[in-house]
Amino acid sequence: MIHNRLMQILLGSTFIYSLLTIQLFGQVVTPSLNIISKPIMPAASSWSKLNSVGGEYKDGNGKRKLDGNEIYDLEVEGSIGVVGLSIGNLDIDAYVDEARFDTKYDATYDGDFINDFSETYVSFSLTGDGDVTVGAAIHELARSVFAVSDGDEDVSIKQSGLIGSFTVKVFESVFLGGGVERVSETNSLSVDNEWTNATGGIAFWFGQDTDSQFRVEASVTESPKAEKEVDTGDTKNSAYHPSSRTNRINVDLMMNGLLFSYSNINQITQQEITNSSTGESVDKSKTTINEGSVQWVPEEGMILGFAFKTFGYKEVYEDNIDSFKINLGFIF
Amino acid sequence: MKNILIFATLLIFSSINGVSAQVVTPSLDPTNPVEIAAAASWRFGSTIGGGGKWGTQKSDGDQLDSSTQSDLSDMAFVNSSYIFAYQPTTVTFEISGVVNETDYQWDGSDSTSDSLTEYEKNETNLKLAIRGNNQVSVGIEFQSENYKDASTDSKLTAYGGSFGMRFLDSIFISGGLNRKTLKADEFESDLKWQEVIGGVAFQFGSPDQNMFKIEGAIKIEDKAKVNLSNSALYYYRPKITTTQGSIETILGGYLLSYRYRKILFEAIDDIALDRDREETRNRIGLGYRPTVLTMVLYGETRIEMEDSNKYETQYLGFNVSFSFM
Repeated sequence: MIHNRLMQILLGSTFIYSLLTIQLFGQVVTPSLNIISKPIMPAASSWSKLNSVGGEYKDGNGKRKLDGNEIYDLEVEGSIGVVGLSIGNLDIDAYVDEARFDTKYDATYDGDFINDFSETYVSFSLTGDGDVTVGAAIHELARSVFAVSDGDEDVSIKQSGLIGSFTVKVFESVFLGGGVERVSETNSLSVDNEWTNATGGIAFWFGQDTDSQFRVEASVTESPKAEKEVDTGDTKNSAYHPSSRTNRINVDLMMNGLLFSYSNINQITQQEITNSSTGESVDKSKTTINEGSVQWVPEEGMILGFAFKTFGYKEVYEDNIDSFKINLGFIF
Repeated sequence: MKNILIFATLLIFSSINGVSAQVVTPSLDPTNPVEIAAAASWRFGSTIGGGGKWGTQKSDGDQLDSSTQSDLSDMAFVNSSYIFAYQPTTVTFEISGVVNETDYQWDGSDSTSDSLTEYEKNETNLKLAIRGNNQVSVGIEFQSENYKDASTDSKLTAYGGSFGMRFLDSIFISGGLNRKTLKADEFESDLKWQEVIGGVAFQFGSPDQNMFKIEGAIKIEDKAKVNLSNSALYYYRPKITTTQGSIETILGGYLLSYRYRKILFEAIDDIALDRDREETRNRIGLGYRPTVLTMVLYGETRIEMEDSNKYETQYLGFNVSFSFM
């Protein structure tokens, strides 16, 4: 029987490590001006009629601190491929994201860490009468997490998501939108679980289809608590997904095709965690991410850019990772 | 402690032999590579060329403060460099490097323990930049550097991104980020740190007529540390701040240049009694640049100050290149 402590450790990983790899350029209501950026809600993509393909390499490192001491060196390396096609009023977007993590330590302490991560996404969206867009997407996440416990072990977690969303152009430069994602999770330690995330946002976008644009988007995602008890005869543990709220803000400023982007995301997850190494407890965890990027975005031709990102996660222990990205793409 | 000293030497020399450091726009001597990729977009066409550099350092009683009379090192130093920059349209590709840089150091606190230390270094820089509307530029870059001496074999890799903007035809600004990784057998894990660069330049004229350029820039490299293998010791890399300014002009086909650079190595908090070190470099260049051919001779003085100790090194170098608009 898997012990409850191990399951408690894994609660956070569902969110933490998807946030660690996600790009933050706020594509809930409107598309990011950063072409390499990954969409969040499919209907947002229809406001861009660019055909593009691109890739990104990322590399980062950081530390885990527990009780004031640096206990782990954290390293991450990965890549992303993104495609966006616009065919009439139909837009198709897809991306593949993968990352490998390397955690160096002399001794293990309570608290899990990730081994690897992969994500795929395909979306279809339609433009209506010029003021409304709708979209649907398939979203898959898979990761392997090393759970520190009495019997240290790798845990496999997979999530499959179905997303539906819409956006409305309220005024010439004001957009509203929202959507839901139904998530099904399988876990090598616990029974299957599922829940529905709800996302809404607002965006202001000026200078569309020109080489000088300004865009601000704010959005929030609510993820509810979800529990699944074991049935008689199950060899796995009960499943538990903690509730969380994620706030995002994204600012894009493009001047003569030179794009500066900044994004911030904050996530609070309600979860009781007691660290057996220190005896300390918390009732929630907090994730904070900041990312800035610079990119050349022509009307057609080569895209070139780079980004810098800081990631922080705090519960009983604290992770901080800085990473750097370079990206290359093409608009056709 | 020995390893710490070895690697301190390694990194200091990485800095000493840095490229000609044009952060915002390219040097009027096209043989000099740009320091950040975005600056390559402002090149005036394609270039192929190379150069050489040699120098000597003596740290004897004449160059040390009178309170410190011990001989620290004598040094002879030589390298050669190459550059190929290709600018077919708005895209610029630049590859440059240093080949077989070799340094001979006679190191020892007294004549009985003097020894010959030799290192070899090879460096390759790849840069890709794109210019938009003749007003903005974005670039990415990769650097690889191998260093080897009797006790150390290490590899430095770096990649980064940068941007540049042009205002009123003659005013340029730029900024960039680089991420660096140093691998060495002596390290328990890789040493990683970040570098931030920014600058501003004013540039008038055209290289085939008369031209004037002035540039100021700053580069800040984070401090970093890593465990040494099988040891409780750390290797520390200090925070390094480089400020520099340069003036260049082409008048009647003759090229004149002056560059000032100050490098501050901040004391490491974890090391008792460690102190700031400061290095200043002054370089002058005199050359001839008609339409295609460019030839420039450089003379440079490097002065390193550590407490009251002063070390002075003299360098001579030359560049030759052919440019095609």
